[in-house]
Parts: sequence; C-alpha cells; structure tokens
Amino acid sequence: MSDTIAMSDVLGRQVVSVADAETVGEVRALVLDRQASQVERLQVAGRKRSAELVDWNRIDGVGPDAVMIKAGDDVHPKEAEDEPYVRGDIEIIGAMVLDTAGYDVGTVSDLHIDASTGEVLAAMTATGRIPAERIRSLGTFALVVDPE
Amino acid sequence: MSSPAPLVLASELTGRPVVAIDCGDDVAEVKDVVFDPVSREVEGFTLNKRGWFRGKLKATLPTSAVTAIGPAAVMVASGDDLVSASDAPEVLQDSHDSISVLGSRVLSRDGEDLGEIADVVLETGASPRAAGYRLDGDGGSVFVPIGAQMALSGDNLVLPEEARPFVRNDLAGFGAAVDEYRRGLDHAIEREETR
Repeated sequence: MSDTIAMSDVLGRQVVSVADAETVGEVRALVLDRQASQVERLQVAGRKRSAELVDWNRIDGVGPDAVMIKAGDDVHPKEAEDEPYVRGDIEIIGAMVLDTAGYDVGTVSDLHIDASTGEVLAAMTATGRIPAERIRSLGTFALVVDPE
Repeated sequence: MSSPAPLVLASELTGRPVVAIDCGDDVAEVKDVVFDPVSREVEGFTLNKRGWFRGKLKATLPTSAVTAIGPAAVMVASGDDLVSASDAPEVLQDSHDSISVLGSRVLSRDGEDLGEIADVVLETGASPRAAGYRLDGDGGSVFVPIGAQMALSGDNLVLPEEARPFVRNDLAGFGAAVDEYRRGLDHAIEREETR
C-alpha cells in the first residue's frame, strides 16, 4: 500500500524518535536527488551550517501529526550535497518549472511523495500536475521537465 | 516540423541563463552570440558567470551543444557541454570579430542608405542561423533579410534587389517575410539547376 503525502503537509511536522519517544525536531526542508526523483533526507533541526538531517530510510512512518524515525542517533550533521537545500539555494516550493525547450511553464506549488518509499510522484503547479516521468532534474535555477 | 523557427534578436540573448537539463542549475549566461555573416550559421556563444561573481567565464558554448534556445533559458544537456575557451573552435575564442557587422551601413542596390546594422535577427530551433539584420536609419528601425549573395565589405553591405520587397518594420511580420524570401531563393536555385 502506498500513501501519497504532500510536501506542504510534511513541512513543520514534528519529528519523533520511536526508540526513546523524544522529539528531535521538525521538518524544515527536504533534500532530493539531482533528478528530483527521490527524497533522500529531511532536515529536522539547525539552520544552514548547523543543519541536521535524517535519511529517508531511517523513517519509521509518516503519521498525521508526526514523522516517526527509528532512533535519535539517526540524526546527523549536513553533508556537502545537502548544502543547496539547507542554505536555500534550492527551494522546492516556489521553484520555476522550466521545460527542456527553454520555456518557463510555471512555479512549483507542491510536491507529491510516496509516504513509504520517499519517491517523488508528481510536482504540482497552479495549472496542473507534472508526473514524475516528465521530471528531469531540480537545481538552483529550476525544476526541469519534459514538455507536455 | 514545418512551422518556422521563432525569431529572436541577438541582443536579447545577452544575459539569458544557460541551464543544464541533467541538474537544473544555471551553469552560465550568454555574453555574446557568435555567427558567421557569410554562411549565416550561429557558431556558438561566449559566456559570463552567473550570480554575484559575474564576469567573463573561461568557457564557451558551441551551437552543437545547445539543445534549445527558449525565452527563459538556453538549454544544454549537461554543464560538461561547456567547452573551455582554449579547446573551443577559433571563432569562439575571440568574439570581437564575430559581430563586426554591427555598425556597418546597408545600402540598397540602387544606392539608398537603409540604415546601420544595430542588431542581428536569429532563427532559433535545431540549427540556429542569422536570418536578418535590424537597421537603425533616419526613418526608424527596419528589418532586412540576409541575402545569399549579399556583398559585404568592412564598411558596407549591399542589399540585393530581390530582397527589397521583404524589408519590414516589425519583427513579427519579418518572420513570414523571411520564409517567403527563402522560398523564392530556393525556387530560383531549382530553376537554375533544371535549366
């Protein structure tokens, strides 16, 4: 069974460790792979330089009020590939949607994610839904998609 | 596809971001468009850095690496497709000669001064080419198609007689005029060959 979750719903949700029931933080940012096909990590605490993250595969479940992670020591400091996301160079919500023909075709309003795997299912814009098959990459300039 | 490639002024491409499809980053921005005024082919682009540390980038972008020229960005498959200036084709190494047509006067076949070349009209699409020039003259701006046998010296260009009816006052009408002009030239060549 795979539930779809919206990125906008997950942002701000508290993050709790199953092992010791402690709140480790709240979801501050999502880190994707360069192809924007997968959520790799969640930023759960700190800002910029001090950012702390949890790998998606250490998530026990995404509940309606909290993201449950397996243990408190799953939280680790940022690594180089997290920097564009924790510094805000890449803002997923609000990113320009650019098609491969070089046309600005909208702005990302939300991301739909598979709650169990972290797979990106679609990007939402004001005018519609861009399925994962059309998404090519996400970078500092835009979410690049194949034209319709 | 038979629909004509969209036209764009070379000056409008300056500052346009170059975006890599494989990572979504703006890897550079266009500084100058380099084209051959005789063959009309766009050879490529010289580049500037993006962001706060703007300045000349020691890399160039050959036309062969461009996958699309869109209104929001020039697209390349990957940032690796930028070619370091020392490895680039010679024409891309020094852009000063390339747009040397700017400022040249264009005269009609019968000696009327039509104006000075102020900009270059480019056909985008799969093989970008120069389609015409924007001239600034006494009567404002006009667009003239680049003729196959347009005489060119350091100072002047002479517009062939047959191109004269295709001079336009606006870029929108110029696209259709260029197509019509080219079709006419192709027919002329065919007639020549079948004779």
